[in-house]
Amino acid sequence: MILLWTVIGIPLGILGLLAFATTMVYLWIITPVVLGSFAYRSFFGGEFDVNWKTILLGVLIYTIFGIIPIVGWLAELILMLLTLGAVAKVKWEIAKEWR
Amino acid sequence: MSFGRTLGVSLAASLLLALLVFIPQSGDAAELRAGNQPLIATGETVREDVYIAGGSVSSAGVVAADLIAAGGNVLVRGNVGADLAAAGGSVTVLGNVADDVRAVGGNLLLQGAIGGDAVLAGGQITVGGKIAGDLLVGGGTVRVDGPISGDVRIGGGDVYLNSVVSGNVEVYADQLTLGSGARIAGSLTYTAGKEAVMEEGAAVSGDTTFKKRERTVSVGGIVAIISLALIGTALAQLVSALLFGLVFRRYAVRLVETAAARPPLEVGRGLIVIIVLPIASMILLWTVIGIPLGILGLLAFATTMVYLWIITPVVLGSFAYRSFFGGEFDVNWKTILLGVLIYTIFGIIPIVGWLAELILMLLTLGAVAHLKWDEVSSSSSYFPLHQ
Repeated sequence: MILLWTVIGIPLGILGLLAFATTMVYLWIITPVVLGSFAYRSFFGGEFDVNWKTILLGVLIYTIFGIIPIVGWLAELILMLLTLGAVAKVKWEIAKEWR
Repeated sequence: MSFGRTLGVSLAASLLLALLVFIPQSGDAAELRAGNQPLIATGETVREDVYIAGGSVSSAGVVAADLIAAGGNVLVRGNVGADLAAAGGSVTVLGNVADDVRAVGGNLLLQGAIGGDAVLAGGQITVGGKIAGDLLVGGGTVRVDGPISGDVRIGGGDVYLNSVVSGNVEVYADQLTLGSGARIAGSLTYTAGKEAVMEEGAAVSGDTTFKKRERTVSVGGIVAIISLALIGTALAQLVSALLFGLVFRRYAVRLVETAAARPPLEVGRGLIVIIVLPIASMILLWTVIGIPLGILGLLAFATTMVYLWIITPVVLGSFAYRSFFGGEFDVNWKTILLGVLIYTIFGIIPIVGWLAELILMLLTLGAVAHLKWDEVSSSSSYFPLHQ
């Protein structure tokens, strides 16, 4: 938003806002994947894995969280932030290689 | 629902709040009616203020207090005992209003008698009823036939005044016509593209002042605005390109090398991405279950377009610099500056320049997609648990 106000930074501002919107949608999709893998490991032990069962479990738990007011929404928010942090770390690793 | 009606509903919704602000607030209770076709029926009398909103709003009964109406179509046939505020695609007032009227709409028709002032804004406005107070109008086409006891102020494109006005008249319009029934007791002051047309029988008792509307934007001004826009755009592009090109220099060089390795292949790849991504996203949106992925695809497409606009001059500059001075492909402030300069010049040249820009964008997009694909293919290296 600050970049948009600088006029000269409008393209970067637009890019930033679009990237933010894209990240939000992406997070909404990927968070249950992360959650499911965590939950599956907690229930059944073993290594972290991602398969259709973990994803199904993740979506189920995420949906239940969405129904529970305040506490559930807070849990969703924390999970989204956790996933965002992980996504940012992976991206940062890639970006470091490109510098 | 037609576009006009949709526009009207949107307009009505957004203006309802604004109208409420202007409505004098009384301590009386208020009645709220909403729905697809909210109605105050014939023979019904409502004592308190009425807020009514919906697709097609009709008030045929009597409202003793204020009436605030918003909708695609608003029809007020019954009388209103106090103020009327209305907004909609089409607003028609056939009943009498004891006090002020404030109305906004695509088409506005006032046929009832108004006891106070009337403030109207819209595309096509017709005032046929008597107005006891002042009349203030802003609209595309404005026609006034009803007698006005106060002053008249009109701003519009085509204004036709054919009524008896007891006060002064002030008009700002492209064209003003005084009809045969026009009788202005006060003075007439108007600003227009040319002098008013006075039909036979039209009379102004006071002074008439005409001011020719000056051309506000000269050709030189337009050239200055375009030049400023071009310079501003180029500067914004330069700043963004410098940021990307210099911060991710290794990526930028790799991008240039990828684009240069097999240009026709990368252009083809870019063409496929630019066609397939939006179409696939739209198809996903239609499948309902794929809406999130469709939204993600469209957002990614929009992001890519802005990103391409920034990164294409970086690639172009590196190509051009190597062509002029030889050596290896490089990305630095000089190549980026050169790229933005050439890209801006291409933008000024019709057809050929735009075509060159398009090909360069497709080439860059192809290279970006190539590198992204390599990144995704080797992504397992970032997830050691999968190995």
